[in-house]
Amino acid sequence: MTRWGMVIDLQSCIGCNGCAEICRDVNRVPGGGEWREVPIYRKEDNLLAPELALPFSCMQCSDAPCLDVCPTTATLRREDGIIDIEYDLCIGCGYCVVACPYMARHINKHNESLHLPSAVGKPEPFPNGADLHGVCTKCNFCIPRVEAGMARGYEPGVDPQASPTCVAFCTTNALHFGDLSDPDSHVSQLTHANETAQMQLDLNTGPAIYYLLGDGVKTRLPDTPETPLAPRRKQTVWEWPAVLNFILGGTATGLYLIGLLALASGAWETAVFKWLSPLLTSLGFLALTVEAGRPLRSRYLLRHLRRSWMSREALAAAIFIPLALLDWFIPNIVLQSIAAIAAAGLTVSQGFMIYRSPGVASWSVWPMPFLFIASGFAAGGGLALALAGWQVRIIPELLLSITQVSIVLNLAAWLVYLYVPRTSEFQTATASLRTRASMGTIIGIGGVLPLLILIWLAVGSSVDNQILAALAGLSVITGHVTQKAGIVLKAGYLRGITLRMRSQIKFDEETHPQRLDRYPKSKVKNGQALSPNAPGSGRQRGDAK
Amino acid sequence: MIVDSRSLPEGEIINTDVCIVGAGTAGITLAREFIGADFQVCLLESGGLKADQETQFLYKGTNVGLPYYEMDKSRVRFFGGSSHRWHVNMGDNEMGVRLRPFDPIDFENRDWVPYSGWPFNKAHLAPYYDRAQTICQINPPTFATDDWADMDKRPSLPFANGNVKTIIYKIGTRDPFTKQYVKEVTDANNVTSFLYANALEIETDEQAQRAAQLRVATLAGNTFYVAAKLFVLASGGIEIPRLLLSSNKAQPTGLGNQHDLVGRFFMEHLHFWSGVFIPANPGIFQKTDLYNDVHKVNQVAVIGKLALSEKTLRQEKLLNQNIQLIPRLTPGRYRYPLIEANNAADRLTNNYRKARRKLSKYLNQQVAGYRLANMTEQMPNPDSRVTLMTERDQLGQRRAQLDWQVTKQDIQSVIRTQEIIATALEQANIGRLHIDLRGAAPPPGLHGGYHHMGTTRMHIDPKQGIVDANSRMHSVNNLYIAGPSVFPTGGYANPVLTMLALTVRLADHIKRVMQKGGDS
Repeated sequence: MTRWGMVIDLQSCIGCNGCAEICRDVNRVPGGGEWREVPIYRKEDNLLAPELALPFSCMQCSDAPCLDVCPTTATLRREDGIIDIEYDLCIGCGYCVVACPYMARHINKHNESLHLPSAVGKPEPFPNGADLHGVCTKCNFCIPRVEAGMARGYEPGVDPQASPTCVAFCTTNALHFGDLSDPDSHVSQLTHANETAQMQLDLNTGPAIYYLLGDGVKTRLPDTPETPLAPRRKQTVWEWPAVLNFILGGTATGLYLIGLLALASGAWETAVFKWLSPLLTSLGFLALTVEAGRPLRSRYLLRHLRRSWMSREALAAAIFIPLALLDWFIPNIVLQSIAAIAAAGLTVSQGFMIYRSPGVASWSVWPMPFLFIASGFAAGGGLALALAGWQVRIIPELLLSITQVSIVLNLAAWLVYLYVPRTSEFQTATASLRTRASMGTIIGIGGVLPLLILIWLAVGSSVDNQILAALAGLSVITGHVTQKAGIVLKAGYLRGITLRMRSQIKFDEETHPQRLDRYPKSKVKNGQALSPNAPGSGRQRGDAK
Repeated sequence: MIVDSRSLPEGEIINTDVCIVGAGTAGITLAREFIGADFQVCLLESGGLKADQETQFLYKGTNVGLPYYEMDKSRVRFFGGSSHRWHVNMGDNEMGVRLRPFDPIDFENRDWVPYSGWPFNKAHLAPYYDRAQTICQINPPTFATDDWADMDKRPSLPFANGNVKTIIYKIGTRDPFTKQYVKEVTDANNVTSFLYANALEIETDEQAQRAAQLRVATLAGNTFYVAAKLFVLASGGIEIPRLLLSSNKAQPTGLGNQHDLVGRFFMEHLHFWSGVFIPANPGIFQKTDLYNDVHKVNQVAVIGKLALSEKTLRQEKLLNQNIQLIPRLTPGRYRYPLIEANNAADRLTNNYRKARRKLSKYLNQQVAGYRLANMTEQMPNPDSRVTLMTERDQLGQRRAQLDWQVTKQDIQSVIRTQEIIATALEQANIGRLHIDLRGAAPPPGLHGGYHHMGTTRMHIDPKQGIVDANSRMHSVNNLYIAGPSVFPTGGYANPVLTMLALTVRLADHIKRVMQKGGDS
């Protein structure tokens, strides 16, 4: 089976940026970001120092993180290994952007066509007239062009007519294209005869772009392989709406579960959490519609429950919100149980969603799901304290102890998250979370202060002090807000690009097979993908008119 | 024949008749003209047959003037030279370069352009332009607008008052220079191509009047010499002055630099996007196909642009400029032009329009229009120049430093040109042109076109130019220069076609000189 790949000879690349320019021109790359970039790396901070040009684009990974996370299955893998996007399904949620470790994906949020003779008088903003407003776009190795060329009898990788635009027009012939699965192809021979390097090799995504290094290039590489050659970049797809969703989701589910527990044990006879929790959750999801590129397509969110944590989050919310509200009107133990499971699922999904974003070094670490669960409970407990104080005046002891335990667990998870040694990429990304102001707010105001208040309330048996309870609740929530905003906004960097020799990494084909066949064949019809990008496939906007 | 210079013994002396430094567009064309001649040609190329980063790094230098391309990114250092970098998309999987001869007025001594005037006029160059077009494979040679515009499908815009005209650019593919001519030159019997050979110094007699030999080195470490009857430098508008300034044994200020001219008068074409043209009738978008993109007419890729007529240039004393119309969606504020307010009603209109502008910005409204891509001649300016830095490259040569400057007159000419075009558009009832530029500040996003011109300018007076009308250096009898660095003024057109015309003219001259035994 074909496996399209690219080999880039770094010794020949002079960093002229011509490939990126012609890509933009021919592919009519929409706004949001380039499909192809040529960053320049200098070992020394000196404009006259030797430099290394590093062209890169989507790597068409064999184990692509974007494929797993896409909630709508708009991202698909073709049989030939190309990761393509079905634009009509994409909701522009941006999850794949933070999941991609190669900064290869961009959301065309404002539907700008920055680079080109635009739609005026020439209504072709994109080949085939696909509607790209608000969706994710990226490089697909110009596969429609390659296939069209092959259909006319040209040989891919040899004739420019059947090669990706960048390869066909490279100034210095530094780019090579072909079938990696064919041992006789030019690219296979290059990768077998030479020592090769690849990008983000430590993440084991199986990229299909190989780099050839001459001796001259090696001297220009950084001394340690962890040093990024292209600097990290702030992620801009998930901003305040996403943060709000994480804050409200965590707090509301925590409140709901604690409220149910208190209700069941008879400690707190109330129903306020039954409508407040689903309301807060809904507000969080409502906020997301501001951020998503195509919010009206939200119905596609449930299409990828098998793998995407975002699909699972959406499902949990879709169950939790109506059932919790229904239970408010018609209290029912079955409804309550299902809603409770859905609530737990929601907060777990949010934690795993962040965790499964290998593109962001500060997110894809194991404490993340624990942190989300613990902080959700802490904030939910804090909110419950304030509500209970306002409603029943005497704070139930159960609430006090649950909140105390949650706060301690949250603090522990936060410290483990920040202070267990991890990669240098993680350390630099999270440096802003370790500042005195950030730690003071999260540990001091969000943890120690409410703990002291709660202990004082419990020990001093002045449990009827509603003002202090409200203060404790407020400070926990403040800490929670700071935590999530910090993780998403301050530490949310798309990781810098590293280049490693394949010989430096131990590959165990047994444990890490190139999982090309991971996706069901049903996604591929007769060898032709469903992508509107492919020639001959229907679903063109123009057809409807 | 190809020789890998890295295998030459240390100190080897190569004896030849004509030595060409640089196998780029000019060097290859020159060598190709000499194929089959009864003298031996040695072609020195710094790179090999494929690109290499170490070699490319020899170009590295700094920009201290206006922001400009990094020097090692603006040129390509291997066989074929910067023709590899010709990146205008011609369709049909071809990439090429815009080609157009200079206008007759570009060759004149214009009293409003200091240092202007070529030693000959366009008519003198016409036959060479024809030969250059054959080399670029863009025949038939005509550039008349009517020959390329199609009144039915791709008409030219009607400008009644005669100030503005349509001009045609042809686009020539890079393939001959990167493939076909490379093979022809390297296969030729009397041309020896030395790869990986970097000319470091021109060694002359004590009076610095005759070049004796070139000192050449490779990155592998060996040095050799090329002794020839005559030498041609064809290594580009920055590397040529760099080599001359570095060859300072006999002449401490640099070879041929007794009048402090080497490296001065660096000129680019000012490229910038400025001005928005909102058509009165949207139907015009269907009628500007001639201007919108590169298209083929009888197998030749062409595109139309706008320029001012010669009469207007003289009247208004302007620099030559051309403008491309690029259809784009533009910010909605252009729909609400502010008018000159003399009475209360006008002021009211303006206030209303200002409010609509704010609203349209808030609503992110867009309006269909044309952005103007300008490409302009630059006034020759001695302060815009190439010098040497103290830092040295891998071969011990001092690196180049570029100080690109634009004058106030350049910008004023640009604005006035847009005003004239605005009037023409309004008079023709085609629409309204919004001029973005104000004052004398360089336009935002100003850039060049990789056109390095003027650094060894041509003038009949040795005090005002480096080379004479035959492209021979005034002070060194057997040293010639090929390439756009000899242009005294730059016109608006891309330099390739004019440079090639000068190169074939130089080839004829050198052939005549060699017939007489090589003494010029």
